Amino acid sequence: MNDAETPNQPSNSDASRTPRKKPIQHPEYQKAPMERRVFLGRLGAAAGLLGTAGYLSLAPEKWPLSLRDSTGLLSKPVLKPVRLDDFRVAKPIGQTADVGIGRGGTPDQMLRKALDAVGGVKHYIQPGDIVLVKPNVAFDRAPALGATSQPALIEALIQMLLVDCRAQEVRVCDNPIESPSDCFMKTGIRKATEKAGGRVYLPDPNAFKQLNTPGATLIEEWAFFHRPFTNVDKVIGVAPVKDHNLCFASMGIKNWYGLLGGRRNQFHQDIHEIVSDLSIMIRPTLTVLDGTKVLMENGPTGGDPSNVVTRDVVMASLDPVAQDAWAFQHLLERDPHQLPEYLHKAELKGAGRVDYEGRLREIT
Amino acid sequence: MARKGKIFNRLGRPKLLRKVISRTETVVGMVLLLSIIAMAVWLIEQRDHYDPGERDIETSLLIAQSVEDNLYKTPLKRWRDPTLAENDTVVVRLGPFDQSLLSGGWRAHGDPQIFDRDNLFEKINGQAEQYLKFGFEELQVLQLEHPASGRYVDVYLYDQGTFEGGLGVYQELRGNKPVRQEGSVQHTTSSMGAIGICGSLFFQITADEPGAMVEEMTARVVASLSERNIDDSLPDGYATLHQEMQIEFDRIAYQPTNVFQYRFASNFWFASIEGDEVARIFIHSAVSDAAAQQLFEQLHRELLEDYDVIDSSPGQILLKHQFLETYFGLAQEGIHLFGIERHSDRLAAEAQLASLRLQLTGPVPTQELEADGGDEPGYDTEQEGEN
Amino acid sequence: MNTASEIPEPEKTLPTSTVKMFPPPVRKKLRLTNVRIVSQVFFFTAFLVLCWLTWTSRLEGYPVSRILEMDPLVMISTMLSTGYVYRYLGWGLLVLGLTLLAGRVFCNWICPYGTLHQFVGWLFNVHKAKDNFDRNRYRDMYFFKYAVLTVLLIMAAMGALQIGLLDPICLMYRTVATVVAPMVDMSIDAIPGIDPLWIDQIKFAPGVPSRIFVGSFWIGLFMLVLVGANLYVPRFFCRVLCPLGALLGAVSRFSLVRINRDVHKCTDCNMCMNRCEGAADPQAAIRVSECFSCLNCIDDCPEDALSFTMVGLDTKQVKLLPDVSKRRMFFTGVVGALGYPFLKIHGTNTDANFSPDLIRPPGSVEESEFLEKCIKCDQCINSCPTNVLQPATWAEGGLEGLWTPVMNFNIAHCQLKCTLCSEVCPTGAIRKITVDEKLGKGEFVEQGPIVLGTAFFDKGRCLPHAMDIPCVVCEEVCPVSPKAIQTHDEEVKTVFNEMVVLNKPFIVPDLCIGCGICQAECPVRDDRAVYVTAVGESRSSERSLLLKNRSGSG
Repeated sequence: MNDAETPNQPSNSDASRTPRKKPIQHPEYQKAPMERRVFLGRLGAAAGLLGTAGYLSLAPEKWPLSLRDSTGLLSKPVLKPVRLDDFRVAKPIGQTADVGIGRGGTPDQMLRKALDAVGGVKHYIQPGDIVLVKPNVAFDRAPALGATSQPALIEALIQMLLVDCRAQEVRVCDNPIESPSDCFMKTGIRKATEKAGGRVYLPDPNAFKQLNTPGATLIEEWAFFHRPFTNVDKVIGVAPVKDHNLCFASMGIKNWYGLLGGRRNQFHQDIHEIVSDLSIMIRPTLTVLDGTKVLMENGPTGGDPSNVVTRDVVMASLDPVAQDAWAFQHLLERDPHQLPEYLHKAELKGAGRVDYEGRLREIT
Repeated sequence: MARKGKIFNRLGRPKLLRKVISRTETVVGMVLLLSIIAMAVWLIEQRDHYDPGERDIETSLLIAQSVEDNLYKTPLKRWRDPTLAENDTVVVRLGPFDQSLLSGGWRAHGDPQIFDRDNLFEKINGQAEQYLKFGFEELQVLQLEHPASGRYVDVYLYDQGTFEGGLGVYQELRGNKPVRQEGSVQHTTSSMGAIGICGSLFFQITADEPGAMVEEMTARVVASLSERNIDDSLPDGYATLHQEMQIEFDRIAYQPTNVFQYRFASNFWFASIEGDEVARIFIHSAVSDAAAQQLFEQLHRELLEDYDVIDSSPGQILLKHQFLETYFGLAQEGIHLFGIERHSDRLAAEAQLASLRLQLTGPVPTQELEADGGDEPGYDTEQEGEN
Repeated sequence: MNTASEIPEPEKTLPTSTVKMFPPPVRKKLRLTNVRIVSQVFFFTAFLVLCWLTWTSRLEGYPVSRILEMDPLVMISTMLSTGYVYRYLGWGLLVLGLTLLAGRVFCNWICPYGTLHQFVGWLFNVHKAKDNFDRNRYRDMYFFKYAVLTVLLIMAAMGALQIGLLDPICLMYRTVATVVAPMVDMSIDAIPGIDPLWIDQIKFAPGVPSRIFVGSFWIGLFMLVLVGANLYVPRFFCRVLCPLGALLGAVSRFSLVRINRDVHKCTDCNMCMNRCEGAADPQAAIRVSECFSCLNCIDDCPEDALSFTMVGLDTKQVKLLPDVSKRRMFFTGVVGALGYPFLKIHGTNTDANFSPDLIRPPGSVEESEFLEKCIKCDQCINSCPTNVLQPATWAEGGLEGLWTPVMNFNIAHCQLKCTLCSEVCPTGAIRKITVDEKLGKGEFVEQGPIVLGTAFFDKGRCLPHAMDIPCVVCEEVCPVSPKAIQTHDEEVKTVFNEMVVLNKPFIVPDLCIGCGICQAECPVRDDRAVYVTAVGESRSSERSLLLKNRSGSG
């Protein structure tokens, strides 16, 4: 570099022309040479960084720590499916009844009778258990319309679980078709739950997990309302008995539909298959069928009290298939020879037996 | 000019420059603070804890203004081969069905469909089990259509293999509806069709809508079937009950399996007793004496679970239910096993038992028969009881 | 607020007991600028809390729309357009009365939007006091808000209520409901491992899938630009655009107390302009119509020359009227008068040419009346438990109906027994109805249920109709009794030569109430096979479909 042109040393001739206001470089500027050690250190660091980055990005996929994805398929998000435990509990030794029917009295008494008929609730729920109760809260209907579970029964059951069985926690959850917050309010289930000391779990976008159900045809892997199932010991389904436009009857098994997420409205293309899949998706400890208000037609939404028939039956069962078969015949009063196809399919999948003969016990 | 290098204000307020703060200002400030607190309290006070269920229609109102559910119920619209013109005659193989069905504007809608034990489920899904139980062999379905009126009639013809198979299905589906006899055909009609039997054949006629045309077609099917020659050989049990004891057809039932809820008992004939709601006599014919003997003992053993023995003699026992206090008589004679169940009167039950024994073994009097023959007065008692 | 007068003179001769009662540190803490900040924080928090309370599980009699109902501009403009004052809109008198007492205190003590602007302006204010003098001097363009007010009021009087576009409360409500609340909710959902009990408590809308609002980007951007403008002109919105501020400014000429400058003490140091929020020129003749009564100038006066006191002490020192000339008023009047037909001839939202997607929530009044009442606050959208209510876009409402509530049944459905939107509406655009009225029960039997629109089938896309595949979700979910979607059975041969019996759905239009649940649940997800359009809505005879009481309607 030529000294005469260095701007930080203006000569007189420069000043006579157009003098710069400020020198570009400071007059006391001194060049500081880099030490060899520093230079080598930096070089090493740069090489190390580049090498690591190069290894991570270019090493073949099978090598350890490699981040390479040559096909673009590795980066596809993998949803790790979960499985549900089997929540069933063996019935008391010597008991033949799988389906208990309680008749007469208040919902509380009917429920107690039905549970006693299958061995008593204390046999199934141990002190300290976390119990999940799954009512049917699918629509924002008043309980009297029979489209949803009866709050009185839910309240009685939760109290029974918390007081008699000394359960640690009772959770209540459902993923309704209509606004969950509203449905739980309007059906009175939230109030009943909170009064009895249970806890309501509402679905939100992060409450779902992929559930793996071995043996299921349609929902081998499907989004499932999993959050309330965390650490749960026992599961009890509480379902109303109602007419259904497509699968003829919505009872204990169809109730589990309310735990599915995702595009579940596709399932109507093969309704009997999905309901039979539901029977093996979850193996509940007990299934309670609420026969106090039966929606005989115009289901599953109902809306007119003239469609509802009041009966004094509550059922509790270890075999939901047999229970549904009995309810179909005796509560919905349908032809027992035209049982919904899904019950037969459920039997083939091993969820229970349609033939309830000899496995009933009725307490009045 | 903005201060260099700063984005945010220094988080503070400038120094208070004024020197005097009056008492009025302090008082007003306090009043304002209190009013803010009051507003907050007012806001919280507005909560009225209403029950959202109250924002609903009263159930009593819904009941009062209930609307009749007139759901749309059109007849099933059937598929038609689009290549056929409206009045094309279709050449149909009628199979077991009579040509006489195709007159008066009726025609067959395609060939009869045939189903066997393996694919019966495809046709009548939930119901198939019931037919299989009674020895179902083959189902033929003929669909008849009447293009002029748009009516449809389906004729189902089930071959149940044996007479008792057909009778069993029929009696189970019939319920309490009356039986009409026409030739060799027993049938029960309704406005939508009919069910009935003809020997080992069980038939069912269903229409899309009730009406006179359907009734006429039903009569035609029945007539065509009644002309049919059927195998006259009746099973022993039925023959005994119907022909020898003159019990009417509609009181006879057949149970193929799981009799009295026992897996080992099968093929029993039952007949209800006139004038008694629940009591029934029953007959079973075993393959051999030994088999009959074994079944008798097995039943005897199992029945002791619920019954107390009242009277016992070789080949015959009389039991009384522990709670229901009804009588159960059971006897065995040769290959026959017979008895009476759920009878409320001991004497009458014994008399029935005796008369049954007489019917079954009457032609060949033996020593044992004579021993029981002493009960003949009891037979009279039973008759009186019935009257 | 009460009158606050400050008389410095007797201060010096105060009895000692009073001094003891309020020692100087207490006085410093309790001075009015501090109280003002408390008030601002209170109303800002109350605003957010009321937004948060507007949810189906929390609405328990709280007056969630009260801040909107207190807005006098809403009261005056709806009174101009409809001739009446709806339900609680009389509460606007409270703010008007306050203004008559103490000037525009609303702007700097109550208005949550003003608080937001002040806070943002303060947070990013890195200017020196000398620069602030210029930034806070009155500028000619501040007259513009009076033009905005005039145009909007004239248009309102002619029947097109557009104040909601710029009214600060409506604007802020709209932004919180459709932008801030869903953003907060989605962020909360993204927190890993959060206890669901907490989620239910802190989310604006617990228990539903993440809410979406069509076109909320523009609402958010509108807000962002207005807030960002604070960096260039302090309180740009309040000084230049706010029609409510203009209204209060015009009223405040009658106010009893105002900022008063003692010219004998004043040394013209200009310090009072350092933090003047309203650009009201306290250093000269105070512009009463611009003053927000923030009282900052009093704190900043080293000579104690300024006070907030009664009128009439020094009238020459005051500019009472806004700075609008007759010529400007004339032109804005012309613009307002032309603005009404300008909006109308666009023709998006007339009976002759309305969008099939313009489906109003249940209880809405007839469309032209609706446009006279709706202030676009989107409080109804905030209250909707299913997310079906959406701010209308240009396509559905045109400019006139922009951001008014419409139902988008692709997103959700109108819940059968829900009337929340009608309960929270401050102006009666959605008239308060009961469930009985919505469903035509009880005393409303003659009148029948409220019909939002009519469902139609696209048989080319419906699975049973077009592809011989069983489906009928629509029939299952149809909530009316008897069902408005019913089926007829049909035996068909599929392409694979199999005979199947299909339930083919059809609509019974007399029973359909247009709740849209069939459309929301239809598995043909993009272009639904069953869809609801606005025709047949019961609020308008011009947009009806079926002849009432025709023979054969059962």
